[in-house]
Amino acid sequence: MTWQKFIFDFFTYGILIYSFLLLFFYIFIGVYSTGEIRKYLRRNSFTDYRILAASEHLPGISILAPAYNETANIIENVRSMLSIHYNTLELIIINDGSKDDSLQKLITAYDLYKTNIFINEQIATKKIKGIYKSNNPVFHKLIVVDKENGGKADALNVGVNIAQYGYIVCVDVDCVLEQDALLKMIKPFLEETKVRVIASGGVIRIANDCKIENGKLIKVNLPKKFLPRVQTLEYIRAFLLGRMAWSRLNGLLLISGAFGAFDKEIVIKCGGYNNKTVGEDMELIVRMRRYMEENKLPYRVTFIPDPLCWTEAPGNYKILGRQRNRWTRGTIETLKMHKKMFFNPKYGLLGMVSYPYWFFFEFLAPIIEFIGISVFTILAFSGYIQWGSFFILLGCILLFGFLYSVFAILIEVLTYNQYKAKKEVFKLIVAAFFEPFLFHPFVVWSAIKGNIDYLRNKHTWGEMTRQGLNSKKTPVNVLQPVVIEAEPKKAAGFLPLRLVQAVKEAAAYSIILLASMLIIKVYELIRNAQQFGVPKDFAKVIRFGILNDIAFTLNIAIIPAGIFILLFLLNKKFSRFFFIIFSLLLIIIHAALAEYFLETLVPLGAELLRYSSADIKQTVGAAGISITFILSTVLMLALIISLFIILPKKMKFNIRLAFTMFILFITAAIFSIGSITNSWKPGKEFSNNISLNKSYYFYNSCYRYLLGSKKKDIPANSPVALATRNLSSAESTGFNYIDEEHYPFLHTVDTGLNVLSPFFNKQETPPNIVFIVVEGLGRAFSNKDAYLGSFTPFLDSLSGKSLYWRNFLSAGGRTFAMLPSVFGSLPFGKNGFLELGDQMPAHLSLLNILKDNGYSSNFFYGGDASFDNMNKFLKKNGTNIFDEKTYSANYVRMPLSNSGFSWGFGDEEVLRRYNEASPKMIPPTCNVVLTLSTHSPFLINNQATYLQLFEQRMQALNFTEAQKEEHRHYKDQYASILYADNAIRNFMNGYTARADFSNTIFVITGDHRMPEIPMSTKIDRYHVPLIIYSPLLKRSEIFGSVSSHLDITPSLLSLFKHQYNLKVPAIATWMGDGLDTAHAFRNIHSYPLMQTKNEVSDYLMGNYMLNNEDMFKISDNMNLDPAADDVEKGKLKAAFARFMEKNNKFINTNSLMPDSLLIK
Amino acid sequence: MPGFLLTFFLTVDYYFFLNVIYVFLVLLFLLSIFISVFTIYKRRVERNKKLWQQSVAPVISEAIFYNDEEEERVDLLYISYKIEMLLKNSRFRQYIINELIQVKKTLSGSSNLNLNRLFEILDLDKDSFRKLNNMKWHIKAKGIQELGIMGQIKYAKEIFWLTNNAKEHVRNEAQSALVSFYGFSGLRFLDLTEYPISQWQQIQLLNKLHHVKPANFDALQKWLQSPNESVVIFSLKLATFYNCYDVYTNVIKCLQIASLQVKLNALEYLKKMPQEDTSEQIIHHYSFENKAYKLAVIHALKDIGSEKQIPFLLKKLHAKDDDIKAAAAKSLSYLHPLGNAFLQTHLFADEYPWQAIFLQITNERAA
Repeated sequence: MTWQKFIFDFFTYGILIYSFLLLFFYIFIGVYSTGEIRKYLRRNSFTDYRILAASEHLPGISILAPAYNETANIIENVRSMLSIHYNTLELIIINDGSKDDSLQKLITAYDLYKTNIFINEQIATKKIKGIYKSNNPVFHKLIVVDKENGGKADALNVGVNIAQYGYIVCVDVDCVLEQDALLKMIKPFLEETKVRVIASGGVIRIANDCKIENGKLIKVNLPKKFLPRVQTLEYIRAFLLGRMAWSRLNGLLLISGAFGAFDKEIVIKCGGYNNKTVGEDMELIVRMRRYMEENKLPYRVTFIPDPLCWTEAPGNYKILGRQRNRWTRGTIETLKMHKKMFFNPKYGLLGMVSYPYWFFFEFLAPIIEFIGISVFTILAFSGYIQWGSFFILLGCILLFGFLYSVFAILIEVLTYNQYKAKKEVFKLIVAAFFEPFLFHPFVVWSAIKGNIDYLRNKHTWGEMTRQGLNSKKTPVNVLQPVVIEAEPKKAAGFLPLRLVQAVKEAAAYSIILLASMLIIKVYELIRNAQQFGVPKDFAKVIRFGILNDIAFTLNIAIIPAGIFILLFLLNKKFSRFFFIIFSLLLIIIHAALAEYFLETLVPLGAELLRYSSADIKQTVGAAGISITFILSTVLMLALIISLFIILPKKMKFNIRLAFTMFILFITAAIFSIGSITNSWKPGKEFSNNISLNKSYYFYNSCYRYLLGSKKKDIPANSPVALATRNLSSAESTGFNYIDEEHYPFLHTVDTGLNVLSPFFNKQETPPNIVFIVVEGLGRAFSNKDAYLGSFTPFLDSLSGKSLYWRNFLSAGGRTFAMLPSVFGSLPFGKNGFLELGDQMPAHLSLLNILKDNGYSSNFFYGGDASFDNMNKFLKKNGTNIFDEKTYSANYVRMPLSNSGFSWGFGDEEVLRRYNEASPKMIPPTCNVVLTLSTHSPFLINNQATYLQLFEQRMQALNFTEAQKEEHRHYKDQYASILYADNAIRNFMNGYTARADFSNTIFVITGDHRMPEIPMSTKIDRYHVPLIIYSPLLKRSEIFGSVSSHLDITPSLLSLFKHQYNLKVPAIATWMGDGLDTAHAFRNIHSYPLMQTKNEVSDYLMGNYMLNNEDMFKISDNMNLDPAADDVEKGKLKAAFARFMEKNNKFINTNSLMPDSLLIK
Repeated sequence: MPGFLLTFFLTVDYYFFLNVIYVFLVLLFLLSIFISVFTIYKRRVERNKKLWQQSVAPVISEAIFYNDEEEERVDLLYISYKIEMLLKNSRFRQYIINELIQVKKTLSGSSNLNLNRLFEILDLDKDSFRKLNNMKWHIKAKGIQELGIMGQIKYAKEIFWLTNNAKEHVRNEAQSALVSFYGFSGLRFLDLTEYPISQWQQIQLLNKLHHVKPANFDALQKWLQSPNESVVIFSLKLATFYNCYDVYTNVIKCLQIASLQVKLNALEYLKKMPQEDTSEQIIHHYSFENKAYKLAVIHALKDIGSEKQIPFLLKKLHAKDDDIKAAAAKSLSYLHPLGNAFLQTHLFADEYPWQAIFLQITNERAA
């Protein structure tokens, strides 16, 4: 799984789950609220408020109405409030330092006089300048307070201090209250017998375009303008559904500042309104609830669905934006002030449901919506998701919103049905339809701006100009534009403390993780330089290396950081423990991968998954684990653990930086920054591999391996699939397939294709064949034109007397592919043919065909033949095995590595074993020798001599000092090659004396190119020599054409068939179509190459090679140049896909041919 | 469950969302149809009501304007054939019940009785009575309310047993109906009610008793000792409202009950009907009480105290709480022989907050 995919899934499913949760809550709220409304309506139908209005038994209520620059409507508004039906009432108008003549107007209109009232300042407020009462007994309920400007909260606190009654009702002075509003509001306080009702909220309705006379609502009309109309709908939805549901749950967190009733005693005990927030209404409720919870006092906050209070909604986007901006800031501030309650079970429903709901679905909703829409749009534009899917999802969400609005309208119609005029309901539905397009995006944007303003420490109310409800178009400012002097505070402090701390610590830990990665990179680079010298492009290697490591850490950090944050909310210690363990694992794996690379010069990929534990043990053992390595690893781990324990406490992270980092992690993961930087390479293959982040390579390779089969599924209508369909198998490979459906590789064999006969003299008896497959023998360091210089002087000379293919390829990047390719030209299956083990299907091979023709076959190996299941293959082919178990005591094993490991016997000993065993064999024989001295750890007996020979060889090759120095980094490798070459020399020299020499064909090749000496191209790994030497040869030849291991068996069998009339099947499963004996460079073959056991990613056809998505043009000496020919690429892809299709069929059927065709 | 969820989300494809869209569209269509149908239905009901009103209004008017002497003739009221036909419609019957109740609320005297009689003539009482057996609480309560308002005293027995019903609104309406039928005597349900009577219900009952002359207060003594705290509170309100001197001793005992509401209501009573030892009685437990009670005691002393309580009040003038100070100062201004002038002689008269408190009291007394 690529990180890109992981994060993409994480993001899309994250958003999806969030959306589902949100929708679930909405549905729940919708359903749950209807029950509460129905219950309320039934309960309320028994009360006659008209009779109660004059009751002297009702408790007193103080109405608090702060006013700022209200001169336009203050007289009417006060008169309206004085006329409210309630017996024991006082109306306290708090003039919050108005700059207009509001106070003077009141004094004149209501005949006020200044009086002295002692105020017990239980809540600290700004200074009161004067208190006024009326001389007229008609207005005895009226008190006007003149005070210094201090904001709405401060004004309300003054009102609380002055209020003489036990219940206070806070209203916006410009609101129009229904006549029985107070009776309805006080009822819940008096009805409850079991718990204390501490506050009660009322529905706010939109009064725009309603008919209002003398401060009384005469007729309800639906607003004519779109904005107020859509707000009408919004208010219906919020009040009728949302707040009723929360009220039923007793989880209501907000009572609108425009109209709410409170138990004064609790308000005072809580310290009154908070003047440090612009969301004082919500903050007070949260604080009151918190107070009750902390003191374990049973309580309720109720809500009245009756339309009791009518207010003017903003009529233009500018004012609406300011309002929503302020609401957002108010929410953030309140949540921040009470972050202690976040998922705190001590606060019951309040802490576990209400607060988290507000946090996730009120505060975060616009942010997530904004990010979600933006990212989905980007993803759609960048092709990660289809536009169709994008619009379906979007449509789904929009439709749900519309549906929810229509449901709210239905509830309104069923209950209060305020909009009775013709078509008003229809107009509301139309507004609901347009809301997501014309209103909602603006609200979301305003909320985002609110967040930004909050972060910028902006605390103004924002001026709200209103048109006025009494048909007077005088703009008035009704909300105090007071700038609150904010305490210096940290950015994003609105978040619950624990979350903030979690993000900070996650950032700190991530930095240490990155530092650890870089430490390993430095270690890797130093070791590299020590072992192999400083590459010419070292600066580039460092640059790209560091870049890759940073990219990988950024790419992966979201996983530990994300989980850490979640765990941190539950248990701090455990989360820290998790991060450290996770990071250590990551670092240890990373270090091990780096070490593996240093030993093998090949980054480890998913092949690890295919090796058995014994194979791994053998390979790792071979590489050797030195004391230095163990010590340096322990020291490094100790250093890293110390960093993790000590540093986070000392790292003081700015919260903005921490959050920025967290967002960076998410972004890096979404865009899989690792894969982006991974494609930036210094140039040369080896340098590329040094700078590569080994962990990224490993995980990416594992992901591709594990999900590889899915990845290979090609959409039916894709160009490649179409090309594949059009391209017949025969066209891509030249074979005539017989039954592709059941036996995808079974084809007829062109018996006329006999390219080797012209080069061989015919003997009477079939010749012996000796295969010498040299471990790691690459063309890079063998024979003329070897770009590293030739270190195989004997083979060089031998090739001059042989048929020599200089552009020859192995079919695999490792030994696992050698036997099936060379001797069976077999397909790979899933993980190489040998990996099928006991399940290997019956097949044809050079070995079993020759056996059927009277040959005996024998395999000579210095190690354990069970490695890579070689023994199983050989046994299946009737081959005798002479591996390390058959060696007597007088054979000398190769020196042990630091870890005490040795692959077995060196090449000289293997060939000695051959010489010992082969004379006893009855001809004709087909013997195979697989050497292994040229394998890591490159330890050979008499190494000093060969090191000296290595120096001499360099001298002979006229190397410059620089070249020598560079080669000396790989002196062990070169010494082992010289050793192998010498062993073959001795072997061949010895063989000439044998009687069977004259009738023997020697086939010498490498199993793959040794990767421990840096490679130059992608194909270098496969570039090996092929030498066919025999006294039977008519002449020597050098071929420039390309062939591979897969072509050896078909050609040899063809030779034997024609020259010795051996029984050779006319139908076979050869992947190769025979050696090409063209002198000039060309490639007439078409086949895949398998570098590691997990993936076939290379395909060769014509003069091109496809490596994953990259195509290269092959030129003489197997040089590769990037090619961008789409037509050719399409052909290669199609042929590759065709092969994969056949290979998958083979994987599924595990059958190559019908038993009847097998030669018994 | 998380596994299930994850599987669901991983297997879900966009066709699923397409199906969701179809479901939403169907729901949207159904909701729109429902809104339209309901709007039409509501309009039709309104129109019907207007039509019914034309038929019903003359009958109700006729019933209202029969005078006392002709009471028996109400039975002879002409009920048109049209109304007889309409009365077969249960909705119309409910409509006419609602109309009668609306009218009844605004009337009193003989007209009231005429309407009660009309209610019976039209057999609407049987409709309401049937509701008493309904399982739904709101219908049951509605039936009781209708019978109560329409003075159907013959159902009092059935209603009485509902005064202790588990459903709050059923028992509230039953209690109100009994008080409507029998006035103060109707309160006998207080003997057995086990459920708390909310403040709201107490206010409703007090309103109904507003013009009722009490006959016998004997039961009050028993109610004041009720284990149901709300009954005690309500009894204290009744005792205060009816100036009932006989229960003084019981009320004094109430001061020892833990409930603040009981004590505050007891203080209200004692303030209104003090005896010689009342002031001392109420300050007896002063130090152990909370602020609300303390304030109520000091305020009460203003009305019922004497010079004997001046040392107590002087002490309170220096209480920590400014509200207590203000209350004590106010009471002192009434009880002290020097009256308001005493405040000026006080040692802290020029210091805050006494200065402000005294200034306010001076202003208030002067006004």
